[in-house]
Order: sequence, then structure tokens, then C-alpha cells
Amino acid sequence: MSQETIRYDDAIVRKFVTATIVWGAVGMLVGLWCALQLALPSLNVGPYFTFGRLRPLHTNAVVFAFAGNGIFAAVYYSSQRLLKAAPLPLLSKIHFWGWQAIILAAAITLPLGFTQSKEYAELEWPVDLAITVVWIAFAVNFFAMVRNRRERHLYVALWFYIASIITIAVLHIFNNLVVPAGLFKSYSLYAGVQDAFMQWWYGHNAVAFVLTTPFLGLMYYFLPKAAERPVFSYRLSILHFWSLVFIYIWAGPHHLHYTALPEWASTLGMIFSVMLWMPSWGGMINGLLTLRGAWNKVAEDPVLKFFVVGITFYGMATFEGPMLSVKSVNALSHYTDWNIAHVHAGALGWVGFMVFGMVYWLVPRLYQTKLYSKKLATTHFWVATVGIALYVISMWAAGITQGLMWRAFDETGRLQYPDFLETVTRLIPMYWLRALGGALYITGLAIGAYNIYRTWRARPAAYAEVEVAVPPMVRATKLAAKRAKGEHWHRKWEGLPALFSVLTAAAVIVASLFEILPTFLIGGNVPSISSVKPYTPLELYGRDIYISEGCVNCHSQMVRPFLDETVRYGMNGQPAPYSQPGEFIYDRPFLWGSKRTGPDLAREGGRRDELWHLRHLEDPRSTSPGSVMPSYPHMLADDIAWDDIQSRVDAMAMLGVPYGPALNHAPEMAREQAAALAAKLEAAGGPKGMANKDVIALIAYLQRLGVDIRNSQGGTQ
Amino acid sequence: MTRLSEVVSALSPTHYAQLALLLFVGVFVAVAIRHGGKRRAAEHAACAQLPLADDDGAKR
Repeated sequence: MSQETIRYDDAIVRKFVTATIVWGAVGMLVGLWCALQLALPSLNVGPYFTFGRLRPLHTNAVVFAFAGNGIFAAVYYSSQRLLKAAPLPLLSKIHFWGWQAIILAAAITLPLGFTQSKEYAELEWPVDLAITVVWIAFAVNFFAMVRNRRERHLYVALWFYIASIITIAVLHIFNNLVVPAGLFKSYSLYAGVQDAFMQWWYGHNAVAFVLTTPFLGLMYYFLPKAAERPVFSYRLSILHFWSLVFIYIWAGPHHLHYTALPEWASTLGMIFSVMLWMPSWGGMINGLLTLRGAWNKVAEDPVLKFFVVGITFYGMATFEGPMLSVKSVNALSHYTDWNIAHVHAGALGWVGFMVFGMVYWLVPRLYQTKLYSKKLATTHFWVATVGIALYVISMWAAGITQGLMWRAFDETGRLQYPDFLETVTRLIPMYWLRALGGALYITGLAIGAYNIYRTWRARPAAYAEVEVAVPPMVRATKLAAKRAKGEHWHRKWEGLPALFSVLTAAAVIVASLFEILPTFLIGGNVPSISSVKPYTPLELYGRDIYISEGCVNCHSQMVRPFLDETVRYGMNGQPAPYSQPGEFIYDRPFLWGSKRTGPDLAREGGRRDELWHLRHLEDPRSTSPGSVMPSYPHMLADDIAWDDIQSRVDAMAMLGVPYGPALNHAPEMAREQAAALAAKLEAAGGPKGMANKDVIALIAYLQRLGVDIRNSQGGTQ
Repeated sequence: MTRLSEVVSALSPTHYAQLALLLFVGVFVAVAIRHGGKRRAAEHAACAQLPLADDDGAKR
């Protein structure tokens, strides 16, 4: 009887590798542009290419385009070989072209200001639906390979892929539940504290299941291949997997320490974050010890160089992460560039280097020729390593500097740096150093891209098909055995993928429910405040401009219960009340932010007059010399879309916001408020004719921030 | 009929944390026992070889 053969589909892997490099270059160049904008604000080109609009484009491009395509390349190459099964060609095509179309949609919609504002989940609902469809195509394609496999055992790399596919689907669906208020406008199903909780449940696990678990799968497959040695301990890899999957999902609330999130949730997030240290380091040790007896190869092989440093960065980042989740450390680090350093140690060091190592290993095999230049690959490695070091060290220094400056009091008991701007301008030299580090990293990528291009040029005229002899399908064996004498031990193996998927989903869902249910169902988590009222139609529209411009990327709205913050954001010599859960019940989405390049705005209402805001938005440096904020002159020229206001109020009302008369008269009410504000501006010497302009709506929103809570205290602030 | 919010509210948040920890320890111990013994050493060794053997016999 002749043995069956199958052909691996390496064409799909070649496509994903190309997309990885192309989108990696785009995403990182946008990142460099953002970095330079913080040092040189004139590089903000309004209205479409300001920091607030480009920063989500950078993060989405790097996370979902660079890392995403890299993951797909790894999954398609390794799964075919580990399962001895080929993917379905049509689904592979839908997956590849669908994913690239989504990235293109992101590249267009984000600069246009279409955003949900939630970090790493900014894309609006039509794009979210497309992501769901393409992800299902990918999942079906992957599980079809698992079903048609001819290798009984599922290697551990596949477990990590399964966990990623399932969990990303769960996270994406539940964090993006919205009520549309237009083709590219929606409001979150959750409000305030609950929205914040859901977002960071998603956000942290996006880091886990997009930037960690698939790359661990990649490590467990490609590192043994490159080192020509089996993984150090397969047993440890199993413990690594289950511990990681079980623990990661709990850790999200550490992004919300000292906010209005209930303390129990924050503490739970911290404890599980510290516990994460164990499996993470177990994985790192397992990776590094795989090179036992092969360390001499590291000196010569750029692939292993990338892998070793990548895994080392995994160890460093997963040490730093739990450390930053400890509340006392987080009190200093949160909202500063320390988080940016941490994220980039993981993204540039772990994710980037694992991708580059994999690509350098794959390229000669995919293009069926020798790598053009090992020397260039080594140069790429060293240039990028120096780049990461400059980036991370400068951002550590910037973060710790800013955190310490915010909390410093002088000997008389006053804030030592009461002007927030002083804590920003002090960081400019470090921002330049960061830009240099980023530029070096991109230079390394350019060298790599050239090397890959030259390798591709040397490919054969036609690729030889990769054909392998394979045993019968596992499920066919199982059926035959079952027919012969009932149940067979193969059944156990056949059932394993389903069992795995169920157990993984259970670990993720059960853990999530332990945090989500109490957060949503215990009324005491969000005590109501009677003075907190819905935004007026004009303020709601202004809030949407704030969202659209990405102001949340630089301004938090969360006064933490620290003396320096209540003093800094107070008014008339009185400290501000710290933020409370009940303040945010109408905030869809929440806008607490995660970084303060500018000051917190939770108590901004009434601190300055309308004319100051107008001048500041038109040209921030006219009111705040040295500010790095983009200018928004277009807001003084763009007309308010009055016709859109009613549908937005209606959507909020559908979510339970008690709008009363605004349900039928939202545009009229908005015009009335805008006219009054414009008259006030004119009276103060401001420009005429602002009653129809976007700037009025945004000023109305800014002047509302914190007013309700001040009213709850009898206006005594 | 008892509402879910009443059931959830009946437990204090501390209980959720304790239950979560017990759940994790249980899963960890179960996995450790299942895979920790020498009985599975040969199986693990064979599994670890999978990436190294996956191109065996490949023809181009």
C-alpha cells in the first residue's frame, strides 16, 4: 500500500512574513514620528496627524499588524509541520487579505478620528465586526488542521496557539460591545468603573494573549529548531502553560491601582500579577536552558542571538511587570514614562526579537536559498540591541524623574513643582534620546528588510513544493479502531484538542467571572452621587471631540487619593476631592487614561475661563510656553454637526442615561448652550462667530469636568 | 426567585479572592501530579522531539 503524502502550504507563510516586515516598518516609523512629536511639537500636522490620533495608529500597527502577522506566519509554518496537516487554501486567503484590509482600515480611520478610545481596542464597530469575521476564518482554518492532523500528540506550542485563539475571541467580543450612534461612532455598553474594568481586563490580556502566549508557542517551536536541540524540559513547559493561562487573566486590575476601581479588585489583580512571575520565569529558564551545550552556536548564529536576547527581555519584562503591579511601586510609576519603558522592553525586546529570529530562520527555507548575508543579520541584531537599550533607559529615567517631581513637596509644605509643565519640559532631553533609540531600532529593521529582499531576489524560478509522507489521519485511525473493538486509546488523543480548548476557555472564563460578576453586581462598588448628572447634548458632543482627537492619550481624568494630586488639582487654595466611582456613571467610554504627558483634567471645569481654553486649543504655546501639546486651529474653523447630536443622545438614552427633554430637543438645547458660551467668549474679548464651531463644544465639556462633584460638596472647593 | 446579584453580594470580595486562590492551587497541583511522575518521562521526551522531527522525509 502506498503511503499518503501531503504538501505544506508555505506560500501563506511567505505572505505573512512579507506583511510582518512591511507593517513593522510602517508601525515603527509612526512610533518614531510620535516620539519626535513629544520633543518637537511642530511635527504635529493637524488635523489628521497629531499625536493623539497617531499614537493609537502606532500601537495598533505594531501590536496587530507587525506582531499579528508575525504570529500568523509562525502558526501557519509550525502548525502544518507539527500536525502534519495543511490549512484550507480559501480560508488562508480570506485570513491573509482580510487581516491586511483591517490594518488598512485602521490606518485610515484612526487618523480620521474614528475611535472608541479604549487602548488597543480603538477601532470602531464596523472594523470590529470585520475582525470577528476574519478571526473566525483563522480559527476554523487552524482547528481544521487540528482535526485533520496525522500526529497524535499536540506539541506544547499548539497549546499556546489554541489558548491565544480562544481567549482573543472572548476578549475582543466582550470589550467591544457597543451601541452604534452612526457608521463610525458608538458608545460602550459599560460605563465608568465597569468600563474601565472591562477595558483593562481586555488590555492586559491583549498583552498576554497577543504578545505573550503566541510568542511562547513560537519560542517552543523555533528555538529547538534553531538550536537543534529539544526543549530543556517538556514537563516545565506544561506547567508553564497552565499556570500562565490560569493566572494571566486575573491580573488586569493592576492597571487601575488607586483609581475609582474598588480596592478588592485592584488587590486581587496585584496578587495574581505577582504570582505571574513564577510561570513567566519558568518559561524563560526553559527557553534559555534549551541552549545547554549549544551556547557556542549563539556566538555565530544571528537567529540564536535574537532568540537569546528576546527571551532575556521576556524575563526582564516579566520581572518588571509584577514589580510595577505592587501598589506602592505603581503609585510612583503609573501615568509616567516608566510604563512606556516597560511596554517597549517587552515589545521591542521580546516580541520584536522573537519575530526577527523567526524570520531569519524561516527566510532561507521559505525562499529556498541561502540567507543573503549573515553579517548584515548580525549588524541588525547589534544596532537594534543598542536601540532598545537607549529607548528603555531613557524612558526609565523620564518616568522616575516625572513621578518624583509630581510628588515632591518643599520645606514649606507646598508642591515643589506646582506647574505641571515643568515636569514635562524636564523630560525633553530624554525624549530625544528615546527617539534616537527608536531610530536605531528602525535602522536595524531596514537592514533586515534589505537582507530579506536580497535573499528573496536569489529565490529559484519556481518554488519546489514541500511534500511529506504522512501516517493516516488520527480521526480515521480512531474510527477504524472503534469499529474493530469499541473504544480505543486513540479516542483519548482524538478528544484532546476539544478537551484542551474547553479547559482553556474554562480557565479564562471562570477567572474572568470571578472579577467581573462582583464588579458589576455588587451595588456598593459604585455608590451613587446625587449631584452627578448626564452631560448636556453640547457637552456630550464636545466629549466626542475629546475622544476623536485622542486627548486621553496624554490627559488622565483620575485624581488619585494622594496629597500631591489633590493639592495639584485643587482650586482656590483648596485641595480637590479625589475621584470617586459614582462620578463616572455616565462616562461611556471611561476616559481615565494611562499616561500624563499633560495634566489630569478630572477637576478642570472652572479652573480657567473659556477664552483661555480657546487660546490654548488654538495654540497651546501662547498660554503655556514650552507645552508639547498639538495645536488645534481647525476646531475654530470646523462647524458642529448639529444633525448628529440627536442620534448620539438617543444612543446614550438607549443605554439608560436619563436624558429627559434632550430626547427630543437635543440640537436646540445644544445651540442654546453654545450661543451662551460664545457670547461669554466675545464678552471676554475672544473671537466672534464661535457659536457654531467645534471648539465651543469641547470647551463646554472641559468646563463641566469635576463640576458635579464640586457641587456635591456644596461648592466649597 | 433569588437574583444573581443577591447571590454575588452575599459573598464578600475577600471570599472571591480566597476561592480564586484555592482554584488555582487545585489546578496547579492537578497538573503537577498528572505530569510530574516518572511514568510520563518517556512520553515527554518523545513529545519534546516533535519539532526536530517534523520535516523528516520532506521532499522538495
